[in-house]
Amino acid sequence: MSNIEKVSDIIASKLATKLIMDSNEEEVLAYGAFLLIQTIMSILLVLVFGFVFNVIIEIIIISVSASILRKYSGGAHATSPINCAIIGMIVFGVLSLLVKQFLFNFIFWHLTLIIIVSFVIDFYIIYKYSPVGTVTKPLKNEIKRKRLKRISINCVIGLFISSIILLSIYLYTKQIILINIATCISVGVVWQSITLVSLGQKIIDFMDKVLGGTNKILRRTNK
Amino acid sequence: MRRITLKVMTLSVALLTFLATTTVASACWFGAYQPEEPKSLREE
Repeated sequence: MSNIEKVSDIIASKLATKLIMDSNEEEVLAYGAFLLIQTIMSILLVLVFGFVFNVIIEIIIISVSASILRKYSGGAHATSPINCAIIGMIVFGVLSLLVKQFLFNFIFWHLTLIIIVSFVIDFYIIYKYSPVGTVTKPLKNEIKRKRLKRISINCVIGLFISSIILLSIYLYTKQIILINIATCISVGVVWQSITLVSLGQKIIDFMDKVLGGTNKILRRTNK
Repeated sequence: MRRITLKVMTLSVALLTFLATTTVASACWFGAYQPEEPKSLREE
């Protein structure tokens, strides 16, 4: 049990005792507390990286677009919450630095083409593999799986339309930030799509192992 | 003071329960770690 899980259990136990709740309700509170602490920790690490390396806009957009899609499509997982937060910070941080470093090496139309092609590949991956459940949260219900796949596909379409709108506005306003945002959205979706396939699982397993994870396989397709 | 503590605790319970139940309809939480879901929240 990780430290975050221990703290969550203590919080849930105190609340349940004071407000006279049963063990099921206490379990739900512990789960909620865990999610809250983990989210705050992950956001803080990502923001710190963004401020330190001056990529705050890029890292926020990449992590938000990947996280929105992740909620419905699932994907590869780390074996501990700390590893999760660190892997998130490293991956989103490196991707933000790459966007910042190499964005201006591209001609606008080349970049637009790359974004469109990447969305087509993402769409195929999401359509074929999502949702990907885990041992700790299996997705066995076929109706739920279909609903999650539909929402994931809608998310990709929504993010694609947003990117195209931003690129179109750039043609009139010439505001570089618009290309930056569109590229970051695309990069976030690409990373999330990668976590649905074995390559993403291998990358996360490797980083998890380096960070001292148990290398327990958490991915499960339920198919 | 006791009343304020009770209100804060009730609000905390509401927030934590809300967070926990929002994950029921999703594939996983936003991050790269998914804790075990409580039995009472599992959809069979």
